Amino acid sequence: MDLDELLDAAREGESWAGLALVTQLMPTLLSYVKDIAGDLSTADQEDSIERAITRSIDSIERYDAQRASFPTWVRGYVRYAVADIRRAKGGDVALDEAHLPQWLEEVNSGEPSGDSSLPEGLTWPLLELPVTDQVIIALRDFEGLNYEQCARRIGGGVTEGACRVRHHRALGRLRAILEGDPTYQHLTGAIQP
Amino acid sequence: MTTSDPKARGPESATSLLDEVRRELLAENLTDQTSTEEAPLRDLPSRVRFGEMVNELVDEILMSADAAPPELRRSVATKVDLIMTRRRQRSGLLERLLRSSRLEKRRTVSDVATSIGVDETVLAALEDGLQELRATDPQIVASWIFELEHLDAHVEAALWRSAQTTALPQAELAMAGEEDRPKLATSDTFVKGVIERLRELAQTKNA
Repeated sequence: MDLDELLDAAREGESWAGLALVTQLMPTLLSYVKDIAGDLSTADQEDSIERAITRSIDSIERYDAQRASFPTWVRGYVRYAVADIRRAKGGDVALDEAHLPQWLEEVNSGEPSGDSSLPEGLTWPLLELPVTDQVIIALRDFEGLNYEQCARRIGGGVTEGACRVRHHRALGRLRAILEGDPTYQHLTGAIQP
Repeated sequence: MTTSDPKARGPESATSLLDEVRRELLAENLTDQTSTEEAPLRDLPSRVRFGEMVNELVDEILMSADAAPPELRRSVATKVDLIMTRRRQRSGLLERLLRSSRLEKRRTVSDVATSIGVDETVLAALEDGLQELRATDPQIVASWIFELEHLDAHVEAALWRSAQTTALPQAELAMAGEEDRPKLATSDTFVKGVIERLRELAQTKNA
């Protein structure tokens, strides 16, 4: 059974499908949360996993396979849960709404995602970048890994320094694309020179 | 590797693509390595699309697993099982869901109708499916939901199902005359209208 069938069954409320999703998601999310929330206690890390899994499965109608993979979508909930826990503990952490996969909120409510920098219907021109640039930006800027974690996850002897340099150069290429396109020029300030 | 369109790459597996990414990173010239950590693009919007293969590759890179503690698995499984049970109970149409909620709360049609300011016969007709939900004022539908439920994924899904029940299926729409076309479009507008008013009601309550 592929993931789409599993998600369909979960939408129908099939218990076995819910449990299968838990089995599939939990081990990788535990590993992920240790990377992005190493400062939290084990109990808090596990709490974030529990929140993320239950919330994502409870909101499964909002998942849109056209926009992201299911694991990518669920990791958004993990980051949101981690930020929520940090904030509850009194940390000076903004509950970054961008952590939430809101794109389906837009579809359902017609409301903007809360990001004012990009006109509606426009996506960042990341597809114009080479694959490796996209990967390093995805890992660093959206999945929340530091360079050491990026290197360890990518493996094969790739170093933290290589990830740092590649990220720097990838952002430079993205900045150049933004500067060269009138649609995006106003966004160049979003990337530090 | 400069191809940015993943579809142009053919049926390449994420694993072999990962090997290419590794090769590129290993070949990166580090002589002008920056010593500062690049600030993350915190203000990038959530409207972000990476290539399909990039998404698969990122999933693979983040795939490593840790053993789940049995207590955590048990706890999450129990909660997810409850979600599934609730989902089964509440599957179906909004009218049925709200009728069940009303009965659970031991409220009468008359009582609910008075609370939301609508004639009792209208509410009864809605509950019984005699009045088409989509033909009802979104404000009334929103008030009805707000009186008995809160806007969550289940309610929203039921609302969509009910609104689409009378809409033309896509296949029929393709063959339909122009006079039929607004029916489907109205469904979206209607649902959005109900959700918008529900949010207004929630804001008013919280204010």
